[in-house]
Amino acid sequence: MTADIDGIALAAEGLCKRFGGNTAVDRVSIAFAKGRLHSILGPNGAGKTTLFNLLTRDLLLDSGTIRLGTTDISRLTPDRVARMGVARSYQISSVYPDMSVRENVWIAAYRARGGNPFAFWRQATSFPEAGQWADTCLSRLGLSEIADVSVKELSYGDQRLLELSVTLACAPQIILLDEPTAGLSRKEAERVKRVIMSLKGEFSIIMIEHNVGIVMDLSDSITVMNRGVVVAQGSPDEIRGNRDVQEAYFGS
Amino acid sequence: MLWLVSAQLVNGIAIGMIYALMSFGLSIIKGLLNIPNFAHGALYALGAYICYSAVSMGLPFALGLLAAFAGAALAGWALQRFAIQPASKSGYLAQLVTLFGAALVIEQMLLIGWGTIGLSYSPPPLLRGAVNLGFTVVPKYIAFASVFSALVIVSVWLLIERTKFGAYLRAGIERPDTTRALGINVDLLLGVGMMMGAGLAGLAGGLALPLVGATSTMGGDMLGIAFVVLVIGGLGSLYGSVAAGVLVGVVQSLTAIAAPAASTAIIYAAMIGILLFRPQGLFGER
Amino acid sequence: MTEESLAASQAIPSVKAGRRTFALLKAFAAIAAVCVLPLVMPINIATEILIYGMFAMATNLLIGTAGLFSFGQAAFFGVGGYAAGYFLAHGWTSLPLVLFMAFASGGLLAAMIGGLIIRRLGIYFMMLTFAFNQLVYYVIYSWHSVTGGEDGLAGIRRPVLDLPLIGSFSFDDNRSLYGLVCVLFLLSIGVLARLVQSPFGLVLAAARQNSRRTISLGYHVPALQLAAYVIAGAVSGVAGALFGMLYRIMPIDSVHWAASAYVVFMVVIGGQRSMLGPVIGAAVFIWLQGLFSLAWTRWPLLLGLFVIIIMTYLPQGLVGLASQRWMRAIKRGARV
Repeated sequence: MTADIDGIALAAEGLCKRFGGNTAVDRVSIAFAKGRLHSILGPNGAGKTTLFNLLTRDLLLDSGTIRLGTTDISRLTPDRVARMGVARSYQISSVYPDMSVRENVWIAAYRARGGNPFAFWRQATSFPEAGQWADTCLSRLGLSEIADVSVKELSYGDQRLLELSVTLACAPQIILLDEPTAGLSRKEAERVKRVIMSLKGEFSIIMIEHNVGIVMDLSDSITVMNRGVVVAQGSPDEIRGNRDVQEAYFGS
Repeated sequence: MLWLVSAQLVNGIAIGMIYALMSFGLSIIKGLLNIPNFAHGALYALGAYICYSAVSMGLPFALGLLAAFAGAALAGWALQRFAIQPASKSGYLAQLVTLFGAALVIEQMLLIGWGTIGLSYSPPPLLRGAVNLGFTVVPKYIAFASVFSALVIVSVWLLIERTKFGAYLRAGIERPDTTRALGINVDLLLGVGMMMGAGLAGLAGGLALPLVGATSTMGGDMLGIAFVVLVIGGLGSLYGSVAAGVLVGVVQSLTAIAAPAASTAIIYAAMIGILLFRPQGLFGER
Repeated sequence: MTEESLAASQAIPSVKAGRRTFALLKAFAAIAAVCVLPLVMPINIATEILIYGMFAMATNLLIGTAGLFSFGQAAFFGVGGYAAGYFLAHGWTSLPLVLFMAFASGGLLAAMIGGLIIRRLGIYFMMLTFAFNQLVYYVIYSWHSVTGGEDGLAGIRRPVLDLPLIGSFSFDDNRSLYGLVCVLFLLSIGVLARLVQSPFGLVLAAARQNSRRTISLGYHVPALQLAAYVIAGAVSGVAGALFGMLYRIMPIDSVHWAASAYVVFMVVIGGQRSMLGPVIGAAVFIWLQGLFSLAWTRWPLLLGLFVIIIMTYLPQGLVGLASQRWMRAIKRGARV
């Protein structure tokens, strides 16, 4: 991939992460273009989620640098990186079970709309911008009708959609999606796919996904990882034609 | 001076070994049940009282120690069976609160059974007196307590690292879900782990009896120190707590030479230092 | 119903007005309750219930809202009580001064301890709260010249409120002290209830449920938790000061680890998911303590057993149980 420096949303160089004696991510260099959807493929244990955790600074780097636009974020805290416009969804649903659907989204919307988290004395309801933005994000994913339902009563599929909605409510520039269709029925996966399709172009999206069909249909470019290293990189067609990847994924 | 320092050093090792027994037990329970055992101090006091009763009944001190271990282990089993396990259905906080409840119950039972006046006991005749090593004099009981604790720790280590039961125990600590999936009786495992941890606390109490006597409040003080030892050692490692226990005991005893009043303060100061500069603990991984 | 729930339909004015009426009703009910309390029990007991109610509410900000399991809150209660008590025993009896000293010393100690431990998680955090409680106990126990050591800090006088033009008002009478405690109790319940519903409270509750997610949404979670820790410490300090004023002595037992356990008992007996729960828990606890201590000198044993039984059979606490029954009754009513 040869995008010029202006077109790069997020770039990593020489990322390394070891757990004990096991190198989970080994000198990975990767660049994500602005406004594109870039997928990361690879078998379990390839280091994809670890790479995500490094990019969002959830994990400390052993070595390497990460650049967000032109800013070096390799030493920043994860909440700082989030405030700079990087939002993510998790592989395991990370929603707040003791809250309603709207409250879940509101938490993200409040921060995204510049609300002060130390507002001890303000009523949560007296900040209409956050409520309105939360409602916008809910309706975009078709969750308005269940906005007041407690998250505990939600189906797994709806929880995944809620998580996407929360991620959107961060008003990010870059979205990292960790297996957005994992554990979903075909119909639900189709719905999530349509949602992601509708987000394309508006955001820079980086996606880990095992469903090769969805990856091929949605992606502008694909990186294949195995055992912590990048194995192949290219457009969906190039990846489809790559012999190594074929053996691993298409079984031919 | 050398004489004093080496005497205190030996003293510190003995006390440190008792700390090590305490925090080793805490580590095992923490690893298996994922709880800080707030009743650990009460179990320690229970061990001291049981040992006292056994020797007053004319039993040899060795049997007193055995009784301290067995009695506390039994109490640990009862704790797991009748408090922690039933409360686990009610959530994590419920388990913690029952541990505090149990600590109160045990401490009050000690007062009911043995009265409010502190008890003291001198070591058996065989362990009285001191050995002259030339450069220092070591009280026999101090030497015995150190060596005995070390032997106990080594045998528990062998049990955990070298036996099939130990393999289950380690599996239970490292991968509780997998262990359950393998069809191992986890409840039994937890019960036995709790017994071991509690037993070590009781044994520590029995060993401490000739040194500090038995009082109903000895548990709370000891529990604070045992937590400090775990923080200094680092929660990640089962054996870090053993090393940290000895270290804390030695540092405390050596401080007592210069400033006797500061010997307890120094270990809290050490804890604050660790929190500031090495929050994962001396032997913990980040 | 959780206290931290966001208004479902914030746009509809009638709902908003209804909420305001409801809030007013609640306020009146609270005032009425504290007025009735001394009529049905000895005034000392009523005062103590409100003091421990304050302490338990502050503790529940950590346990129930923020999910920070602190088992060392007696340190802040005690330090506030000793600081205010020291001034009161040495002739500085100005009410604003001693209340400020209690508030500031509780908050400052919480800021120092919290700064060291707030980033430590789970079991680590709990052990540290306990250990720091022991440290504070040890310092107070050893610092005999200032704190009275084992005997407690005696000779605490009641404070005096000097009002310009009106004159000075003393709290020597137990009824006037009860009035003061009422005002501070109602103030804390109002402030804490509002706090829990504020954005701050909501984000704290979010971090309780999933700290990592809350960080990835862009919140600096440890700073928010530290703020909660300091607020809880400061309010606990004021409660401690009132306790010292009530009995004119600050006993060493008030900083003992058992006192930290007791306040957690109050929270869980009452229930963590409401503002009222811990207060009811405190009332039940104080009442039981009185009952048991009359019956048997070994009353803590009965308390311990009581808590174990409650935790096994009533995990949601008394308020949780009542609201469950209530909801069930409503559902049954709706079906008919």
